[in-house]
Amino acid sequence: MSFLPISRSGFFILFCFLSLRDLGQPPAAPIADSLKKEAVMIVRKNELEIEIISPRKAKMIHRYVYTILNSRGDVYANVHTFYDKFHDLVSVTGILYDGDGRQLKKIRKGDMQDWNTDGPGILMSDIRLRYYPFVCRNYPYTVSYEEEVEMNGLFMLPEWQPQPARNVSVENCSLVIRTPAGFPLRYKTYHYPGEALVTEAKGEKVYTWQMKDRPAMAEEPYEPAWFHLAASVQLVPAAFELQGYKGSLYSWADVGNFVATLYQGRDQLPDEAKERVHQLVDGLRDDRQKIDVLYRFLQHNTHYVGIELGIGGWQPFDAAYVYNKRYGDCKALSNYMVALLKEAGIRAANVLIRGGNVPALDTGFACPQFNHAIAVAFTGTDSVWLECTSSLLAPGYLGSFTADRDGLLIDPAGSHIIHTPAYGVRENHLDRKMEGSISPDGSLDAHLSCNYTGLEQDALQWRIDQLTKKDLLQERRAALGIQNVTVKDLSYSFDSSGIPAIRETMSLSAGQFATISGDRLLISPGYFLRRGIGLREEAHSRPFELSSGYEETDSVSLLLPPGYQPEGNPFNATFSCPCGSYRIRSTFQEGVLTITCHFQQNKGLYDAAVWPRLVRLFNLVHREGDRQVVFVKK
Amino acid sequence: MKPIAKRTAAIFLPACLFLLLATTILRAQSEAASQWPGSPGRPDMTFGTITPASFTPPLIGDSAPRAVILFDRGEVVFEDGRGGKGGFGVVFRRHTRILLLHKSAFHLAALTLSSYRKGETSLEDFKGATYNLENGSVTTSDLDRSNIFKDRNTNFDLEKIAFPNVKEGSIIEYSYTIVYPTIGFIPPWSFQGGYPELWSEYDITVPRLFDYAVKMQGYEKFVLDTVITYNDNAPGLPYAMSNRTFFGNQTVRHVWAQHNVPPLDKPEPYTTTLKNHISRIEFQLSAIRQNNGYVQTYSTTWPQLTHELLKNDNFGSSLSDHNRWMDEELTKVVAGSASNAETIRRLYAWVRDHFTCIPVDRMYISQPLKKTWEEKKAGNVADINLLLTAVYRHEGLDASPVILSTRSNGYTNANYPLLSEYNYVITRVRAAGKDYLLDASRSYVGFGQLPEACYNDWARAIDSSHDRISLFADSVKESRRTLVVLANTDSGYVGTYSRTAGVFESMSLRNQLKKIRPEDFFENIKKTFPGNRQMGAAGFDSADVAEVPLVWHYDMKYRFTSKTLYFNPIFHERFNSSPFNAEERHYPVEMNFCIDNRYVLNMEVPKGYAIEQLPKSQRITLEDSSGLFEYAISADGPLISFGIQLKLKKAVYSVEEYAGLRRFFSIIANKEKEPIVFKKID
Repeated sequence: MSFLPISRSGFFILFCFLSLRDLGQPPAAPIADSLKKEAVMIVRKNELEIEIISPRKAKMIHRYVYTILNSRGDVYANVHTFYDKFHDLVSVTGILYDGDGRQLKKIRKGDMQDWNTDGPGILMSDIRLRYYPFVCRNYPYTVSYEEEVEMNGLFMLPEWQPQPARNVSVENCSLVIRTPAGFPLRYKTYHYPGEALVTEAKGEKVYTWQMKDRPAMAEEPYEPAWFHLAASVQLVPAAFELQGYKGSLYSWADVGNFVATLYQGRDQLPDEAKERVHQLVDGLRDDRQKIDVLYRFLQHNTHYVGIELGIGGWQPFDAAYVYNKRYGDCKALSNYMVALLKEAGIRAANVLIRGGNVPALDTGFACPQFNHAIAVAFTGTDSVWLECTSSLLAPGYLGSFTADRDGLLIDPAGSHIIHTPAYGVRENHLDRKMEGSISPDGSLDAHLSCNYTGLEQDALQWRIDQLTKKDLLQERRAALGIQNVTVKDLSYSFDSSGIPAIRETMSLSAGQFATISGDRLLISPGYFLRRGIGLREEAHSRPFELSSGYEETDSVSLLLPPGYQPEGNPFNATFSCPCGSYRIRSTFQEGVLTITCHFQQNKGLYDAAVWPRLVRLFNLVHREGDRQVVFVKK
Repeated sequence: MKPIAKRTAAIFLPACLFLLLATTILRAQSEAASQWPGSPGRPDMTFGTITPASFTPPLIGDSAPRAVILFDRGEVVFEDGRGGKGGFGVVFRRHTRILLLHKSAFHLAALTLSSYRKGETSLEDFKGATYNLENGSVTTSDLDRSNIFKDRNTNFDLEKIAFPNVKEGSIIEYSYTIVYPTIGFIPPWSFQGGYPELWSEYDITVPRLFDYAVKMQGYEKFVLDTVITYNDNAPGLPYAMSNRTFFGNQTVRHVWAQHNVPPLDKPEPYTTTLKNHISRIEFQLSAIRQNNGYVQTYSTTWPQLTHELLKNDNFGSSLSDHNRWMDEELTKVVAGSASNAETIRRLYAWVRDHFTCIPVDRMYISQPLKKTWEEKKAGNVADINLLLTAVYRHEGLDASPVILSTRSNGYTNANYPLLSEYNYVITRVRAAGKDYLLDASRSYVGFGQLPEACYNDWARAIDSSHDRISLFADSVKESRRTLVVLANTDSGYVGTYSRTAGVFESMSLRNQLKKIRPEDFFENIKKTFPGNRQMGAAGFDSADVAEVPLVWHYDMKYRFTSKTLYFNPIFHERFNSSPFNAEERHYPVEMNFCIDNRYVLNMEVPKGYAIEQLPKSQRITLEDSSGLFEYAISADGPLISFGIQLKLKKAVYSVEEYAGLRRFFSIIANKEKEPIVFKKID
């Protein structure tokens, strides 16, 4: 879905031009033990130099030396660089050294593989990749790399993030930017200790950032993504020129207004399309209804094809193109959606988004980096959000890829930041109810009904849509995890009027569900209860994050064969902490075992001091969910 | 889909069958005339002949498919002047029509075609259209330039096509031509894929100058398998055979077709690769007839093939060299060796531990052996193992390459050599009447061991013996031994767990230990502990000696408080559910090896508790006695002896045997849930 990759899986941050100067021997000095601890790789040197010549032209030199300590660091031996028509890769030198500093292999630009960057969901993109995987498996070994890039047109400058991951140490890194004295360079540092060193002489301004001796850190569970913690510097050319366009980038309004010029005139619909719009909505009174109808029209008649071309991925194919072809990428489909809405007299706009788990947009620092576009329509004071690449989502509902984040609303009259809806504990529910009976031979016959809402229904909705009936039945059967289970009468009903909801019902039977051992009968009710994984009981030194909030309730009612009485304690546990809560109870009356269970997780970033309570919560859920219930014949 | 009795061995029809049929031309032609092109179920495949009825084809099966391949037709002709040096080229045309019934199949309407730039293949004549049924009539959207995007990467030129006007219920149709500048390759054809295919047809026309071996596989029937022999040029061919001064001027045309082919695209557990099971046809050049009547045969026998491979610069050419550049180093390695057997072991370990393999399975080397040697850098499997062969030969030992196809690469045919089926090479060295099969490409593989991926039926020695070497999964056994001891001591109820992993489990753990730390491994084990068990000292034995089975072990301590204890005596290797969850199976179960697991636990009754109930001992077998599960438990005063044994003497089970196998494992899974019950003595 991306039209400007913020990052690509398997590779580091795009244009994360890390780097170094003397591309000769790797540094002879031994690596300090404090840096080796927890590290898979040491950034010995990393120098990124950018020389901005004009708003149209810049040169970048990036040099680095990585010493790879073990097999988990091998990924850093894959040297690579992205380029497109605005980034001309002038030269590359890469050298592989063994542990003693002997040169094993040297490559030039021509030795690198040259790849297009299509893939699942992306048919066509302007961005290309040069790639060479150095291979050595005798540790440690060292890779040094240098590249020179010429930028033709400035709009995005690379982000500097010298420590690419938690398990990497840094010896010595620097970022140096030279600009003409009057050039308006904007920058912001994150988690960077200190200030930039700025000097000016002979009409040239030089900005320098440095980082030394940063040790790697041990990974801790549930830590926020590394980009939330990593030192980085964001750079923006406040004056830029790109493929004949000129502009300034001082504020989010500037960014949006420039994008608005790229969108200008691209919302013209063919007459035939206009007629369709009026046929569809003219009879409707309510704006919300009109929006729903037009969104469904888009979903039924167009589909997503990832063709990420045009002004570096910023300019959409126009609305007529989408109408005629019935396809487009995220921004083309959103732009088309906005055009349809406007034709129906509804206020609507394109919104640029950083989708997925990527660094959030900084409202206080305008920086043109996005990877997705959606649309928003307005009815009075309400906003109706529309994910136009989905043929599936309910009108007004966004999935977790775009929910709860700031985006940039594109409006020629004044672009601004806007926040997408958040779905939390109130919206995200799973309620499960199982009623069944166990026969004397241990087999189970049961009826199961589940209600999924909000983010809890996203995955199921996708499966229902994508899988054939037969495959869906197979998938639901396997998801139960019960051996020998047969599922019948699987059926679904949907409610998309507000927060989307799915109701799933099925009958199931499973031979040998209960284990009969002598006088005892054992069952594992966990198949129908909230389950979780256990956590290690050890201290956490840094904050941790729960990335979603939701609530689950379970109710199990099982009729046992005659003559059995429970042995041991019933379920009876409660725990509550800022991260969430759990409660489970059971009773046994007239041969029926009844279990009720409630679990809630609260989204948030929590202080390390709270960690032991999360461990207690999760381990309690894990233990109870895995518990065997034992009955004995009396 | 119909269940298949046994794994059907691929059927080989040498192309000389063409010739046999050619001598009985009349019969062949009359048969052809009655069957083709008017054979039942064969659609009109003229481009653009779409009628309203095309949108509602008769569907097979009960499942609503997401798309239906209305037809998929491939055609191969030989064209003069299209070859790399002006001779014949192979012209492959494909014509496909697809009904898109659901948006989840729309990815079929975003097509990427590639042509191998280095092979100088060319992609030509792309033509495509989308059809929709609107108000009872068919509308056509032709493809134009704006729907086609050109792209390229290191090896391929790409053409990307996004079909316009696609919605649920649309039909897309396309055709294109790929020209291969050599007669060495006829593209293979799959009659089966991820969607049902109403008609799939492959039609090849070959001048009698060339013979191809044909390999067919799969469980679907051919509705058309017809040969027509033309005494001169076949109609429509762009050249006339009679204009040429060849020994023979006939042209042979062979058409295969399948009708109503069900989809096969989701592998079930224990599948080598679906490639072994889909309906498919492949070719290999076997002979060229020269002007003078001389017939040059290609790789049709193992002796010929061996000869060629041993001459091939990318395979065996340097194996026969003296390779003097090895002298100095190898002298050091073998210095003081007492026997050939010791020399063999030393050289193996030296190559394995001094050269780095990027685990890319290849049969051909990526660079000269000398370069691999000098740079001591990474090579693929062939670079390493052919170097090993050369090292042995350098030391005067009887070593040869052995080629094979890994499990995920598919089976090879035992009778007919098709080199393209092979993707891996190992080394055989013989000394004192003993053969060793060796793979030095992976640091975690020990002397005399092979990775499980290598056990894929037949391998072939590339030397004058041409030996066929059996590497059947049925012939290898994975043995696991576990011992648990628990006792009352002064410091409480304590014990030890120790598992001696099988050969393959050892390899996999050793490989894992390169990526994770031992602490992390045991952390994960700890997560499976019940609340009353704690882990003490833990570790691995023989982690660095690939030849010896890996042992992992830990100490533990219990704290018992509850009135009733449910103690499951099986740690870490319980089947929580049967591995065979699917109710039915459409092709054989192909496990990687036979199984021999034994688990022994000896425990004292925990102090302060008494046995309330012991599970019953039980023994079950598979119908043909190839599988055995034994669960034995007994108490003698305060001592409980417990043991389980699981044996599978076969790795491959047929579709007929599936139900029994499934039942067998489901009984095991259920039995293994039973606990020993202890009661607190008041």
